Amino acid sequence: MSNFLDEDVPSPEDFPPPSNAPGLRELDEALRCNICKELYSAPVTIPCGHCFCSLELPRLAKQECPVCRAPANESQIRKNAKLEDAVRAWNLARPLVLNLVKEEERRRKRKEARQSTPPPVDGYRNRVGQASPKKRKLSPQTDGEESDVVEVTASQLAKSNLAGFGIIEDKGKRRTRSEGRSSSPPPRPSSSKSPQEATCPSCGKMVPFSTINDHLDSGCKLYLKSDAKQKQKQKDGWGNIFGNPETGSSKAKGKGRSREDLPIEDTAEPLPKVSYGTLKPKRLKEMLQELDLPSTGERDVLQARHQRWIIIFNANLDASERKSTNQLKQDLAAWEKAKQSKKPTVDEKKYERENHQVYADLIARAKASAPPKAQPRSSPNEGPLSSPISVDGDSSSDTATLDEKPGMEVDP
Amino acid sequence: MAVSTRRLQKELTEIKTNGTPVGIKLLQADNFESWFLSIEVLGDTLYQGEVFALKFRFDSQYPISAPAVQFVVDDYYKAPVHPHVYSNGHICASILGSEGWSPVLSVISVCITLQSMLAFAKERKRPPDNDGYVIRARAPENPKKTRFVYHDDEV
Repeated sequence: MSNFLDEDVPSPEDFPPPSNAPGLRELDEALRCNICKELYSAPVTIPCGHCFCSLELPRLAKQECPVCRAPANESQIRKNAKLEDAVRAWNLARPLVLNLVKEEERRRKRKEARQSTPPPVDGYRNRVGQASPKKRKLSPQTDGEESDVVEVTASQLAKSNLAGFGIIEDKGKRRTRSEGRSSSPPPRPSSSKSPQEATCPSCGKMVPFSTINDHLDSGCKLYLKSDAKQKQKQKDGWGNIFGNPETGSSKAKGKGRSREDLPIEDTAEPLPKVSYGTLKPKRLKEMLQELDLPSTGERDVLQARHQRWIIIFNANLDASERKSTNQLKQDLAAWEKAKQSKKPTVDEKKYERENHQVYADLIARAKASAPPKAQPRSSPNEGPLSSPISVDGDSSSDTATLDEKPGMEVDP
Repeated sequence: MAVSTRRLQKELTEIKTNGTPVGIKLLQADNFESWFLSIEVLGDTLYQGEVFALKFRFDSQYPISAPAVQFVVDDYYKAPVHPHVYSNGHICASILGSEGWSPVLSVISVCITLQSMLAFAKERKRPPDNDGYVIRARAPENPKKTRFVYHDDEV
């Protein structure tokens, strides 16, 4: 169970329950998009007042709010600058607050351990709730307190989930006073890891020791050990999919690198939506070329790429800290790569040929048994509560055709 | 990490931290393709004492697209006898279709909805067209490939 949860995904449950830290979970929850459950990025508002990440909303085909189902359409989407400010601040403060809260919890546990029998030590997240809601003040500790602290907690913490936060210390090592007091102690590297790296107390990932503070300040985004490597990989993937990037985007190079790397300016207009149905593949290719995007692939690939670009580009305009064109292109490449790896390979024509006889039988039976007309029912409540109708003309695997009549009645 | 994976991971964290609502239990969730949960209806209802298992299947578009949800039918679990539940475990519920689904719904909220659907049942009966769907029409393996028509606004 644990291995597929390896990657730490921040969630409101990182904070102790309301009985111990009133409002913190709620605050974290409130600043998260209801769709992707991430902290808002480029939040937008619709008339009912609900907010979503700009990137999530255009994908909703339905003209209604996902939360309250109040009618909403795309022209009513407005960016929510104040919410974005709040989220940006929370992104910065979150690691620190998390740290303070955990420190507080540890102190409480120590105190309890000293006062009575040691508390049960199931998972940290589940257990914290039963502690007394009484708050302790953050006051400087005495030397005496500090010294028995490590001995009591080291064994308890080892069993609890705190192990993942890099707080466990090696046996014999002892917290120095100055570090113990600081509000967000930089976690030291443990002996098993190289001395240049440390586990981030907030996100649990390996970070170069010298950059840990900047890493925390960035909301656990910067200085990840694998960050640079991943970016390079994405770039390579972009090249692999679309052939040599050097030749493919020669036009982009001509325009000048510096501009592509700069955040998109304030005056940029959102891209208009396109009705692809009437477009010829050649025109679609031209449109992609005008945007300096790869123009290789089948028609549906081209269309999907163009559609996604409009979504990414317009969502970026809703953010006050905008990404550069190059960053957006990387996002698009990553998206396309993820999409391609999941594409099913069903040969529809072959399936149709193989099952031709089955379809013919079904059609013949349906024709033979079809009543002249569906009977109108006397009252809508007396009819069948539900009736399935198969997807017609869909020849993908295991689709059934329901030709028999019981479920086919149509409401008058 | 894909959006669907991150989203499911957050749901799982929430379940593990806060627990599940009464009558709902997490049976199995060791990957991000399919989960199993059990539901039972507590109190004085038609399904007293019965426990059912639900199978959730997620695609990479979750939560934008609905999960495929059905009752497990095997040697141990049976589908509840209910006017909206076919004997193969398929469920006719609008929130599981593309029209009724909303990306703010979650695994737990689907379980709660189905729980209340069972709780408010007035008679133990299969859908009137059960045989037509399950046997004659060779119902698709995945309930999302069936286009249900929703008649009943009561439950």
